[in-house]
Amino acid sequence: MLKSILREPLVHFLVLGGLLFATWTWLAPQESAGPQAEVITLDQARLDHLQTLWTAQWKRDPSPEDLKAIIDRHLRQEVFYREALSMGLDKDDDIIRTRLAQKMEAVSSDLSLLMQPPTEEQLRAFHAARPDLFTLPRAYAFRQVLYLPAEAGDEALEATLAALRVGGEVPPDRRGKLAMPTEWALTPAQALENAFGGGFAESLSELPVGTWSGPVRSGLGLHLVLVTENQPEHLAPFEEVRDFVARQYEYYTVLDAQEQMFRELLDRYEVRFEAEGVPEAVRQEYAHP
Amino acid sequence: MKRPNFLPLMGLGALLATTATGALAQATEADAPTNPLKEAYFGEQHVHTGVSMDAFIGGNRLTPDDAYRFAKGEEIMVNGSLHKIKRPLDFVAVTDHAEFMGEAYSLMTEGAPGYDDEIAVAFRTAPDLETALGLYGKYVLTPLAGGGEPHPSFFQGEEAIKTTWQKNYEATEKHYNPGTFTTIHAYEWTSAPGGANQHRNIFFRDTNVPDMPFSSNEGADPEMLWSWMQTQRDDGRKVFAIPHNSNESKGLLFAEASLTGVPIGQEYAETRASMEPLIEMMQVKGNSEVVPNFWPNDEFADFENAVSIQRFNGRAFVKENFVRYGLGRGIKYNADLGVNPFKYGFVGGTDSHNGTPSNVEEDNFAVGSHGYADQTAEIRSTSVLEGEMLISDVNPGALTAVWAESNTRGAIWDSMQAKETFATSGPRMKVRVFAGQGFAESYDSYDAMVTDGYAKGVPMGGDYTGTEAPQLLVWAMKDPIGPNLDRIQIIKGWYEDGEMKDRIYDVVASGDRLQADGSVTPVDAPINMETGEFDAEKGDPELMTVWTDPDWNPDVEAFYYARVLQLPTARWTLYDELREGVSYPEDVKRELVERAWASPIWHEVN
Repeated sequence: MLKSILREPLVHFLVLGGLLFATWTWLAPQESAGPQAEVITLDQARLDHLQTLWTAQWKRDPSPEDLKAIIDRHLRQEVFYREALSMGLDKDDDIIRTRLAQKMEAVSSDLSLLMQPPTEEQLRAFHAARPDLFTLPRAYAFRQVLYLPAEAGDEALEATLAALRVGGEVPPDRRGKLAMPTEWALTPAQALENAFGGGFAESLSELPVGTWSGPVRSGLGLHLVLVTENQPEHLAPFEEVRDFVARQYEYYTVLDAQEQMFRELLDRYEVRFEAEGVPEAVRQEYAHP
Repeated sequence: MKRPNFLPLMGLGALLATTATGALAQATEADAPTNPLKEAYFGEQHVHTGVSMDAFIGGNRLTPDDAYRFAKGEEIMVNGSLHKIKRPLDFVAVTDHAEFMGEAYSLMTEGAPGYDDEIAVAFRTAPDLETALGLYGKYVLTPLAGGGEPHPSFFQGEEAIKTTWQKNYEATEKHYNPGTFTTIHAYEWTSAPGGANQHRNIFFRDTNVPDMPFSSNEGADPEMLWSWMQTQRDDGRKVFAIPHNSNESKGLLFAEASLTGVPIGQEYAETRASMEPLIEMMQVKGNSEVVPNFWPNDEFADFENAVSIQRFNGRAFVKENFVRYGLGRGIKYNADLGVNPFKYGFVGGTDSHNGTPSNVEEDNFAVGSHGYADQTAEIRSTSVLEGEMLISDVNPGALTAVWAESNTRGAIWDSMQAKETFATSGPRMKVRVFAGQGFAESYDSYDAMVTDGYAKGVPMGGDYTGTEAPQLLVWAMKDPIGPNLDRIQIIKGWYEDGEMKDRIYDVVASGDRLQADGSVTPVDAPINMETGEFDAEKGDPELMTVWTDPDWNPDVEAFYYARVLQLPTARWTLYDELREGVSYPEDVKRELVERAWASPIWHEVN
């Protein structure tokens, strides 16, 4: 426990601050509690808050001795805190910077949560504006007949292909071969590649639609295939993905709100790069318009 | 936290494809497609998110929500790198440690009591591996080993545990889409008295779950866990447990006595058999089936044994650590007590502490599985997983497949309880086994074979009750994007004349390699060491046979399980060397024979 506390940056900070303070006091002794002394007020709300925190941690109400310790600790912290502020020790401290920046970011997120639910028009506009989010990948619907490599004699394949082309049934010994269905409803190309392997999905793009053809190689064997639909990549119709659009809208609105607040706040500043080695693209991005 | 994660949702193609193919509205269990012949559903039953405090300290900030999205194929920021799996999963159970769930609430929820505690801040802001490991050792490993106060000072009590459990519950509910993607309410009970691993994952069948999990802080003895589970069952809940890492159990998982020293008797055996239908065969920290030292006749025993585990915590390997021993000891108990406490079917998992379910692909291990500890090839090639093993001994983890009628919680949980499951070391090969009488040598179709299997036999996980030597109908198919299969083996164990014995039968091999004397000519199919590519020509995509036990004795207890071997493939270490330019020590393996283990079928004499 003690070791980890000694490694804690906050402790370094406090210790260093304490040393500085001691030095400063020694060099420039001051009157204590003079007429201009600052006031530290411990009001009821503050004390209640301290007691609540204590109770949450210790699972019981503080005794009078505990109360003394709570108040001692609070006043001690308050004094050091104020002195640290007046010495500017909060400046350029990584932990304090991070914490304050986080708080400010949280404020901008909270603002976006106050948003009204989106209207139908807003959702449609978002759907139209972000085809990257709502584009469906290329997909195929087809029937297939599988021959394992050891079974795939040219004659058998040709005979079956000829029979299928004139309306023949899938031979019984081919149905559900390797537990693979014969019929495949519209399925994205990547999912097909995962199910068949060996470049099967890529090969489907070259097959005619509506005619039995093949054989086509997969990770499993050779297939005769009837492609019934070859659906190119396309934007999903709004009506079919309305709920999904709404979820994405909400997600990106929150992100946008944060980004927008950042940009607005950034406008209040001029960023000067005095350091070397900053890429030109970054310089441009932060150049004031 | 109210804010969204750092990155936009990725992998929308996959998500949208699911949405567009008919799952627009939240599907109901009744609407899920069913197949009475059952489908193999692949998934994860052991994964930790940032809610597990050891994972959090290791750098994981992902939530169960993120883990489920990852499982559905979305790209997620993992330890600072975008990462995704090639194939979405069918089901997932997130199993965060119950022990520190309350701490997770304070660590992860801004503004929560304890959030600003010094130790909590240190946990969150640990800047590097060394600091993180120091914190990990101090606040996780030591308490877990039973050394001291189990909770760090920022722990806020029981209510914080309930809050976290509730949050996990909500994420699990949110992502359940019957017929497409199943989520299971679960957690890990993590007890390791004296460094002897007793860990178990706990699985609930439905939404009827307690408001707080039972952790090892409440009871570190498995018998206390089972007793709590019994009270859950008495209250109408359906629950079972799955132990893991028997390889780290110091012989205590398949012991002669309970943890309190009482020799195992009928009551203990009945309770354990009832509470624990399955065991985790393999995960990141090693394969627990067998090791060559104790099974010198098993030529495939040298597989992801994670031997460097023995350098830590006094976890030297003993024969009693391994699953094949446990199965044998189980039938011996059955002969002595009339009940088998170790009647285990098989599952596999990762135990990933990255919040990345089934991130099991050897050629996709770029971000490792334990946060800072193995996040880059450079670290992996030189480092140790603190308190556990060498990273070069780690594997990406294993996979569970469940033969179930539908992709729903009820169907998957029921098939797990019935042990109709198999584990794989990662690939998605499939295996079916039926034991019975009168099977045909071949079938016109797959459906005809399976129908006959159920009609004339029992599936994996069942009991063979015939009076003649059992016939085993075994079938396997390759992973479509992996290499072909080498062979199927039947491992038989039996108890005779006071001795536990086992033997491996090669029952079918690709090509004409199975000889009349039962031996198999090795398949000469090396990988390409320059690219990692496997041999795409040799082996068979499908293997099937009916095997009859040649040495059957109806008066002898026995178990049978199938092991399916595929052709060699490249190990993740080779991909690290080829892609990242690191080099591993000479004795580290670059090639492996991935495999599947089908749950056993038992012949019980009583």
